[in-house]
Amino acid sequence: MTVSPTQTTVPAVRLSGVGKSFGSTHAVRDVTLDIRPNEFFSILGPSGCGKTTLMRMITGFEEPTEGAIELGGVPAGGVPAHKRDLNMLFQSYALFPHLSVHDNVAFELKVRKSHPKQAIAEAVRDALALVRLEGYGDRAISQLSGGQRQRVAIARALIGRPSLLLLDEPLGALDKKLRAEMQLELKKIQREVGVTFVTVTHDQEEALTMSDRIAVMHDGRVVQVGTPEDIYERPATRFVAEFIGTSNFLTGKSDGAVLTVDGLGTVPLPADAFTGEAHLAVRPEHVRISSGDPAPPPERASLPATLQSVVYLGSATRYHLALADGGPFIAETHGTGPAGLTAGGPVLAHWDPQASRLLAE
Amino acid sequence: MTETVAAPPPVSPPPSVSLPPAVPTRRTGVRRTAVTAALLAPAGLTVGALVLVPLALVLRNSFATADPYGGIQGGFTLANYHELLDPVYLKVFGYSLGMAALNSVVCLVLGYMVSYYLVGRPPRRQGLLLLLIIVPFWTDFLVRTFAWINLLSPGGPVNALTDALGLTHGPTEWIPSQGASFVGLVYAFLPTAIFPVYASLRGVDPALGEAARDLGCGWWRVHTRVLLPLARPGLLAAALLTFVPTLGVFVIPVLLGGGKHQLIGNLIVTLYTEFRNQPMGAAASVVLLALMIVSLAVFGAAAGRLRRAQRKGGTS
Repeated sequence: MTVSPTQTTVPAVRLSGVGKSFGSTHAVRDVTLDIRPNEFFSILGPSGCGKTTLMRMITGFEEPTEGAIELGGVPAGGVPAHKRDLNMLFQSYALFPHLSVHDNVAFELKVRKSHPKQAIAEAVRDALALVRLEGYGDRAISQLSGGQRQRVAIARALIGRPSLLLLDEPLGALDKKLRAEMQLELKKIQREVGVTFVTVTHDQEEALTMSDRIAVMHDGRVVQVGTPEDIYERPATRFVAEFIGTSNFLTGKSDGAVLTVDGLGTVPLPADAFTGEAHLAVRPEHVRISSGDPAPPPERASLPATLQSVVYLGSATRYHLALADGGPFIAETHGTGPAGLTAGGPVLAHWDPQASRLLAE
Repeated sequence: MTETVAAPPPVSPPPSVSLPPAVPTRRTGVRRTAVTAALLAPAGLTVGALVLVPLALVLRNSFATADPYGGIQGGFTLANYHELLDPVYLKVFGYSLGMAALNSVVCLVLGYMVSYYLVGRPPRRQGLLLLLIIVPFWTDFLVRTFAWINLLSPGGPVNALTDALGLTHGPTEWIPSQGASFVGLVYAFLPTAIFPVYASLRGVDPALGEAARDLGCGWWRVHTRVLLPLARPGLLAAALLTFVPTLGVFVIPVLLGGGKHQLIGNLIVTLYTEFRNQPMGAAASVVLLALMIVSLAVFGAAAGRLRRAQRKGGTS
């Protein structure tokens, strides 16, 4: 019998029971998670959820009040920010306005005195090439556009080849088109340099498209860690289902097979359903609507509703419904949906129970 | 009571006249000029009568001959200026320049430290602390200097403190002394140094300091490589605002220094009042004015170079 080799990879970041309180307010509570080397990891949550504080503890700008942080297997407690083998991409870019592009990018190498002069010039050239800003070295920061500034900030943060790059809302200050472009570019740069990227963001779309794994934070806690697909398709809590994308919720009592909702009757549940008080989350794209004739197949969950409005989105059509108890329900179909439905008329909303998800909280 | 001698008050630009945007026909153009002239007249006359005319008189007198009774005989001579080249007077000029430079340096260092502390406080606390700095600044110069006489008197609060620390034993005479005089100078000009430095440090994104730390700067290099260079415009203004007025101070060296080590301001007062030699006093005043203008030009040139360097993005 062979023993499988034990997993010996040291996590890039290991947080064990990390908490931070400012006076009586707890910004971060009991966060335990591992970030693997070379992964693109996102910490996702609404503003005020503690994600920025968590990141500042990893950089060393704040010390945790509870728990411990390890960077590359080495305890980081008491190690000041300037001695940690990681860099940060600031939301405001924090480029030094008194220095040229070249001197901004060269800053770390000059401060750490790790390279001779000639090597610094070469490293700056390479770093600027990485972000496609060759020949911009002599420019002043004030002469650059927002997108160019961000590229300079990336070059500056990566020139010292840190093991870890933390990105604070990296795309927040860019306009929509540039944002989409940078999402792909960041991913490409990350693969090219082989550095662990940890981004902090409140933008779920950004997190879903760029990340290998995501930690969703709520109220200072990490409520779920997983791949983008895990998080979207199998949310752990009602908060995650609501925060990532859009969900319809039905609240009631589960007996393991059906959910009884006051005023609406019963709907069938997915196979792994538990019993007790629960929320059923149904993604709008899994909901179909019909006039009720012919009736949907009996294995599908269905609820009668009133069609309130139809929103044409180009690639999709969204239907806003009101259930019998007045609660809102949304259905979304690709392209144009079934014809002959009029606002104000009765419809039937139906979905595959296996595509819905039962949540305890 | 003003604290400086012969320093021309800064002439503020005349308030701009805003008239309804009329089509500038020839006639409204003329009327506009007349209105502008009428509105400028009070300020112009005041400046002319209270600044330019006295300055012209001082300049004229500096080339005149004194009569034995303290009056002015007229005539034209360079003898007054020639006499100022006497080592006794040159020493006063040298001492003044040295004191002004030292005072500026100390005020700049303290002013930077205080400003750095201030910008790190929460906004509301900053306001309160600034108020604590501004209130004494508004208090009469003479009153503040007398306060130091009390503070530094034998058995006074400072003496009690040094006794408690074992640095002195019993009542100690600190006044008059050069040290007391210098403490008075620093105290008088510290707020003037804090405000411009604070203003420029407050405009610095706090993330820049963090970025410097993130990129490997320890405490010291965060300052030398990032914050100090960014505070340079404020530091330059602070240096100007302490160096130039210090040259003309005369109350502090008299009250706290006992008048033994004179600044140019004291020299002028002595020449006018004790020596009753108005032409010599006038000549000393003109020299002081010239020193101030030269300093202003030097600081102005430095500021201009700094602006150009910053526009260029400063290559090191």
